[in-house]
Amino acid sequence: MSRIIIFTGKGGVGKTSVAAAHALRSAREGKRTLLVSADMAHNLGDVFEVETGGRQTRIEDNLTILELDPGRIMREEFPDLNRAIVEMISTKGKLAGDVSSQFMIPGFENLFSLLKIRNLYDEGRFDRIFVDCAPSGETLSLLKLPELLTWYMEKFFPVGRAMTRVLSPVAKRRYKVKLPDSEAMDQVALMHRKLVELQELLKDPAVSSVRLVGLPEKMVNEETKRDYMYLNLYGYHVDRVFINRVLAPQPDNPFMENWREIQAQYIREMESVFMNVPITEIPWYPEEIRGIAAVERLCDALPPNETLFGAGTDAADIEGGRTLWGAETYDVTEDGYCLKLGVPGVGKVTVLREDEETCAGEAAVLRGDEETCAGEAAAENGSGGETVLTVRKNGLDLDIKADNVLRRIPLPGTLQAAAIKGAYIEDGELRILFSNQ
Amino acid sequence: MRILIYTGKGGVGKTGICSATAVKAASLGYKTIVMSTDQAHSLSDAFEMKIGASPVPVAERLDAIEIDPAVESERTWGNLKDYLRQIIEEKSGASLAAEEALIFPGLEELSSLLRILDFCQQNTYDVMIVDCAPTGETLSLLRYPEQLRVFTDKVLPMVRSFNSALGGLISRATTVPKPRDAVFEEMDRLVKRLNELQLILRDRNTTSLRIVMTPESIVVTEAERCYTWLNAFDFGVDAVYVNRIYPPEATEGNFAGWADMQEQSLRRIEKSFADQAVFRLMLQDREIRGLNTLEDVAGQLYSGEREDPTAVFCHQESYTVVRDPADGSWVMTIRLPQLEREDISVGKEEGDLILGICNQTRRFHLNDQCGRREISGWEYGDGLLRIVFGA
Repeated sequence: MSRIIIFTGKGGVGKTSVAAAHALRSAREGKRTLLVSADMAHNLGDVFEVETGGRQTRIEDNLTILELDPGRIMREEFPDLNRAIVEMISTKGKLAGDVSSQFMIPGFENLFSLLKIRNLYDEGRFDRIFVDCAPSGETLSLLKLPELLTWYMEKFFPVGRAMTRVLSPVAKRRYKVKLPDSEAMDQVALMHRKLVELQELLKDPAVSSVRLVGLPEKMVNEETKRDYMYLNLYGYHVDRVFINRVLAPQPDNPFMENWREIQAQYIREMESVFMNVPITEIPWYPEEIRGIAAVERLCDALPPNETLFGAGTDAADIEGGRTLWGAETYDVTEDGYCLKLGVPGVGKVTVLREDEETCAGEAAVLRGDEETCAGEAAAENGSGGETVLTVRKNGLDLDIKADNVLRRIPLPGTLQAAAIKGAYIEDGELRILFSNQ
Repeated sequence: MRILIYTGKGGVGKTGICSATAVKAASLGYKTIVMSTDQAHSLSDAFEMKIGASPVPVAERLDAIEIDPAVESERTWGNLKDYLRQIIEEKSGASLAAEEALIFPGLEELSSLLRILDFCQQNTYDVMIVDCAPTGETLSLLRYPEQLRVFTDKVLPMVRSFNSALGGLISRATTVPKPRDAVFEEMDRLVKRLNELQLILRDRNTTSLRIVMTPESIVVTEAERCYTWLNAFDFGVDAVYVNRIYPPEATEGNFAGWADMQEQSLRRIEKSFADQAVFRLMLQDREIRGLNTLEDVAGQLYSGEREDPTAVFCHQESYTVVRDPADGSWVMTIRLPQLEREDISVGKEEGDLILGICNQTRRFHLNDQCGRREISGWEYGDGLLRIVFGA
């Protein structure tokens, strides 16, 4: 079975280079490899220093790259839908000049690109497809779209379709609006079906996984955290995180050495968020990644092929027992939500107020002040060696602390304003109740 | 009120520059508010104090506010959301995923931007500085009212009258509840407010947009694209900021190559943004946080002729329309920096010019002279699009 690996993350973090390094490794292992860019601001051609002209372009044996053009996909594969939308929004039934050939439903660019990936997978000409995806925010809103559409399509579409047929003459006469005709409606249904299939494919952990790329910086961390949270919530399988541009020790350069220490804090924060996902740090090469030689250098920073291309997360690849922590799930309760999380051997749990922070607090762990914290944690957990968890809402995140381990869970938007009502341990799971009141 | 909006890709250090600018404006005697539309509460970090969803004083004459997008979007389209929620819950029951599916990043940001309109109407501040959320091209969202005009003028009233006549029937047939009138009223009101906001944001004397970038080629490319966009949509950019320029002591040893690359990017920025004021800020030896650091950075950014960050540094119209006396035709010139000819398409529909730029379309309402003529030709060169409306 072919594999699909999607790379996403904030723009400018080096997503394309990391995806390119994966693809090069894969091709040189003898696998038929396709590297696709679904980002409107394509730069695959730049990285490999070739003109692609929107066509599949061979780079070397087994390695093909492709930059997708969503407008073309929409026109070629959903021509009636394209026509109906143009007709509906224009007053004369036709957009003047050559504009109609360029029209794209706002915000749908990535969607059409993703639909194309499904076709490429079905054709079966490649063993591995690597997707360089648009910067995160947009991608994620699209990942929700099939869900919303499904709810709508199943309920409303069949009747809406009949209604449209009946009302169409009135709309045209009285309101001068051309409602979509039945060919266009067929294509809406087709698009929806394809989306559902695509989603199934992208959520199947045996086929697809998502890899996040970030940098050790505050704002980038914030976004990487949110992406991870949403991907989890919608059931996508994140199997590795790359932290790009990590500074090596700079003994001769005190200015950069200082920044290396700042980076270290943000790397520790990532470790506290990605407890059960392997993290790969990529050193900062102070140059732009352009040309095969530069991509080859980046390949050296990636883990071995069996780890990189095998399906499923390799527990042995995660250091320090971080895997003992599960991934969070949410249930609906009477007045809010219950967060459930598998935790290793814990006895008790206390909830701290948002303004409380002990010495053994989260900030200290992220700063790496391990000794002071260990002392205090030992005192706290003194009797019986039973670990006491402390839980605290910290801005947009939830911090859970056990001894010297901090787990930071970015909260979904819905819970950011909610208060923690209580927390307890049941069936080896930590349960935290959030109340909307 | 003067409105300064800082935009740019995430991670370029917008919040630091915004906060330092606010500190400077307040120190010059302006009653100032700095507002972040970013979920990640970065102003709290920059000022090292808890800032919330209502204005908090952070320095003399300076207030700060962090907009909560969830609250704003509830205020803006709570009714529509409730309606969608009803449909979804009917189908699959309540779940956190369903609730989250109703949060659309772009739309949330848009409702946050409407807060600018509120502050403008209250008129309690001299200067408002906006730290725009890093996701997406927030301001390009303002094109929606324009694109949706056809919908709101024609489709929405139609759906509404169909709904009141046949809604009960459809609702019974589909078991989808009939939307209440409140849903439609809310959409009308929203479009009206977005239009008001657009007018304020397009007024060059009130609002200036400023693009923040770092001297790295991919970031500069993005900034150039953003600049083209803002011009195409007739927003006034009056300055760009280049942040995190590595000082000589940082580029010793391993990083020598970085200095060359940075130098190339800086030259490119000078060229691409030749009409703009270019502010430069070195990479500091620490993160930009706390009032002392902010004052220090403000001092590095604003001095001499550029002491006052609230000045309009560059006054430039996005387009002009002039009559060619030779043959009586009218020529519309639109500034569209850094495009290729094949990125552009031009068309006309009734009194509107339809402009296609790299897969996006914009509808310009033309003045009467151009509106009643047909397009007889167009050309693109030197960052200018010239459209000729025949005699």
